[in-house]
Amino acid sequence: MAVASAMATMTAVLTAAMAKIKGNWRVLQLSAWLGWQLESNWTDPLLFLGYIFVKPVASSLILLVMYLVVTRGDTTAPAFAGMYVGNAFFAFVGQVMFGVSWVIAEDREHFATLKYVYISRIRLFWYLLGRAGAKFVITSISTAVLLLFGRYALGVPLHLTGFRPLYFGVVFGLGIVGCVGASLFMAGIMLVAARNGGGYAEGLAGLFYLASGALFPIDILPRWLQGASLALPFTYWIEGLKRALLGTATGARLSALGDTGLLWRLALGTAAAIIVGAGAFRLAEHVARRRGLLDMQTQS
Amino acid sequence: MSALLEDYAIVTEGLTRTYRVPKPKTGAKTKGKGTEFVALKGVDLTVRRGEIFGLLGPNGAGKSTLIKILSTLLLPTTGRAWVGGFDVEREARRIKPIINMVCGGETSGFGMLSVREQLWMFSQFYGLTNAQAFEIIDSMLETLGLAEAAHTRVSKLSTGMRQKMNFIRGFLNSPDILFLDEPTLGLDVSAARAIRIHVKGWLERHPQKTVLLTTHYMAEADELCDRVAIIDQGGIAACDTPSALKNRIGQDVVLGLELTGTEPRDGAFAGAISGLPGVRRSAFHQEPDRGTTQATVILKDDRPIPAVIACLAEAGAHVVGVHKSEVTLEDVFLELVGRKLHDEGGEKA
Amino acid sequence: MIAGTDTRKGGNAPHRTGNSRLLGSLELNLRAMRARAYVRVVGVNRELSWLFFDIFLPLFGVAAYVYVYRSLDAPPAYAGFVILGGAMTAYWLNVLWAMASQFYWDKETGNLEVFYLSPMSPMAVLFGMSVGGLIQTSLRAFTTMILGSWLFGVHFQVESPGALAAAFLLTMAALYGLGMALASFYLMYGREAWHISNLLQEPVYLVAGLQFPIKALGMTVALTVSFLPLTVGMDAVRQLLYPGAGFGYLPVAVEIGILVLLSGIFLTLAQVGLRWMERAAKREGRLTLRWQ
Repeated sequence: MAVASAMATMTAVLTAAMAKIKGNWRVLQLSAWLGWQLESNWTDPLLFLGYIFVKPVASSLILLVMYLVVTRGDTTAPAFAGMYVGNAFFAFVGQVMFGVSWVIAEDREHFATLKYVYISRIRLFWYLLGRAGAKFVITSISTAVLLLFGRYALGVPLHLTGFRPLYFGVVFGLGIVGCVGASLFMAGIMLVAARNGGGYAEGLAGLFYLASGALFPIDILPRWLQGASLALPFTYWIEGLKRALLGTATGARLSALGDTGLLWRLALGTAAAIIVGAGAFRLAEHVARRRGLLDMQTQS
Repeated sequence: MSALLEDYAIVTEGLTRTYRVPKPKTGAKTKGKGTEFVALKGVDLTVRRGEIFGLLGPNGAGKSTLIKILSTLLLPTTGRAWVGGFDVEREARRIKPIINMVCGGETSGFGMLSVREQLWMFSQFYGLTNAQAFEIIDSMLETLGLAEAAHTRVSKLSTGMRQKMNFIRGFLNSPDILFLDEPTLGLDVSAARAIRIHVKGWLERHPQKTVLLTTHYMAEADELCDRVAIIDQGGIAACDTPSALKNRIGQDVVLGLELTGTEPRDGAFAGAISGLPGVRRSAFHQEPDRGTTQATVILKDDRPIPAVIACLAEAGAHVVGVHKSEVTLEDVFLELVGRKLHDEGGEKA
Repeated sequence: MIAGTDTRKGGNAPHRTGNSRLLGSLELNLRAMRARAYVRVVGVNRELSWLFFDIFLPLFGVAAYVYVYRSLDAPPAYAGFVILGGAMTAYWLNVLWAMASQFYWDKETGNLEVFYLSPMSPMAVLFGMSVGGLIQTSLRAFTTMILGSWLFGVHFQVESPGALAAAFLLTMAALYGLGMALASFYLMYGREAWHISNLLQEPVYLVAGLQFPIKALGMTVALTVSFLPLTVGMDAVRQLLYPGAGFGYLPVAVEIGILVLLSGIFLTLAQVGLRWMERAAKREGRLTLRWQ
């Protein structure tokens, strides 16, 4: 009798959990679809494809010219390869973080739908995650194109023989979760900031760009900034990706870390990013409700 | 035509406007030109100088499109229009100094400016000196009860206050012809009243000024307008003074009925009485607060009243109240268009 | 039908002679321009949060590029290029986001309707936005220059302050002229305009040589992109801040001549474009169309 009752309870709990997962999955799908529509339906698909390549290729070319103008060297050198790969992947941090925080501003002030999403039964977290999903897909396409361009047009040593897919997969996945954490933090900031606070996300991405050593070994940064670098999950993420794709470590401080040690630090940093991001978001949500900011209009 | 232009502030001649509705851009299927939507169909209209002229019509009737054309924001597809004697298409630059427009529910401006600064900024677009501008602004802020908010940032204003500020903007250049597009939309009773009083007073002080008003509110049109045009589906259905329009159905009887005790079956009720001799028009709308359905039936005379009540009872309605009412513009609209003005949704055309 | 007849009563303005009408129109447009510029200028004072992300946050990006050069052991002058580029980036961003796409925002908020309802020229609004934007952005640009130079120990050598001022001001005239031309082009468009601005951002960083001397791209590319005020202006300013270092692709005098020409071309394009686009927008009903 007791076993049957326990079984029934377990079944009910499982059914409820499944229903919840299914519901969240639907929200994720729906908001990802919405995000994709908003990102892509303003023009022809062909022009859109060009659009998503032109920006990242242009920023990579800036680095290429900066490199060549000083070294007049070849683009197969490890210094350039590290810079190129770091820059290509860093796009995820900037795009996802800015994308998610902009969803708050755009839905609240341009489309005026944030309040309706908020009062509906769905959780804002899953909605934001779905919208970030669209950004993720677009950034993945452009990053893949950048890597192919680097490999075949610039001769960046991205060889399949040195590629470590498992390590890459784990590092990449952890880093993306870290991006989501940082995005939640920025979404929280946007919940209580005016529309023009979208600049905060870009500014924070700029700080991460500088401190994570995406473009250069962190050893050349001032000591105090190196400390900040080592506290950031993105430093280990970029370094791990470079190791997985190029097979080489960057700079003295990070080279001292083994692959496993790097992975541990990345995992810890990612967990911290999620905790801080989710905490900041919940706090901002509370503040926004208290101050009546969920349907704010900046009007400036 | 020149004599006509001398006497009239606004003249339109066969004014037509169509919009192309493009196909939605979904995926790769972006080819094709989409469809055309006709917003105005050959509108002929004249508004005398010094007149307050009302445009009554449901959503999508073409009121806002007509105002946009007259205020030079939109070109007509065919036909012509003159405002203050100037052609809207060819002489827009000469029209702009003598007109202004206020759209209710719209709030233009910059949130970080104070109300007084915001209005000063708009006044500069009309070349007013600072002294002229602040004299008008301060006086109007006082009149409309916004003086205390003069130094408040626009972003901190309530919707009603912003709408009042926007209303003041429309008077900054003391326009010869003022377009008021639903100016009291969404305002509370006292704010709407303040606006109506201001318009009336302004016209009394400046008898040569002209106002073209669009509104959903029949009482507003009845109270303010010298003449009213009823517009529906892009065309003018009738145009006259409010009393003349009401006289059109002056011989008719307007019967008001309150029905209860049944599931709402407006279609069935309308069907039940539509064929009765002497019944000209009928309209039904529900009042969920009271749990009743209100019916307005226009009859040729008193004689069909018992038959109407009997037919409604037969269709399942319990008639709990019957009264003969005075003819309103709403009844005129029903008579001319075949449905009530407020049967439409809440958006503006 | 009514041409040539003078039967009109309308208008508050008294009859004016040609000259006084011209003066009246000039006064009107100058007032409108001042009013529009005022909004931009007070905006900086009233939204102090802008100061933070407009001035300090962009420094991170500048610093990242300085460290790229340092990691490559580049001469110290290259850090100066990046700082100068960072300062000029502020103007380009202002032109893209607060000039070119401003009419898009104005359309969304209902301001565009009011601009087009009034008798002033829309060019006065664009001029007002330019002057206000220039003042607003100069705060960010000069702070980047001063803080960047101090943080990274960069020294500039100004031998011809007159030529430097002329090159800078002409670059601004041509750049904001381009912004005005783009604004007129965007008048017709909605969300696409936002994306086009977004699309133009990085490619222009590249071909304007914001982080490196443009001649590094080769003479053919440099000349091809000389229609961009930022490319020519950056090169002239760079040469004037590092005299005799041979970083330029054209003599400064020629570049100043090009900037004069570009200013004229873009201002004309803006005026013609604005008129043409206004008509097209009114014909298609896009002047007041929102949520496109």
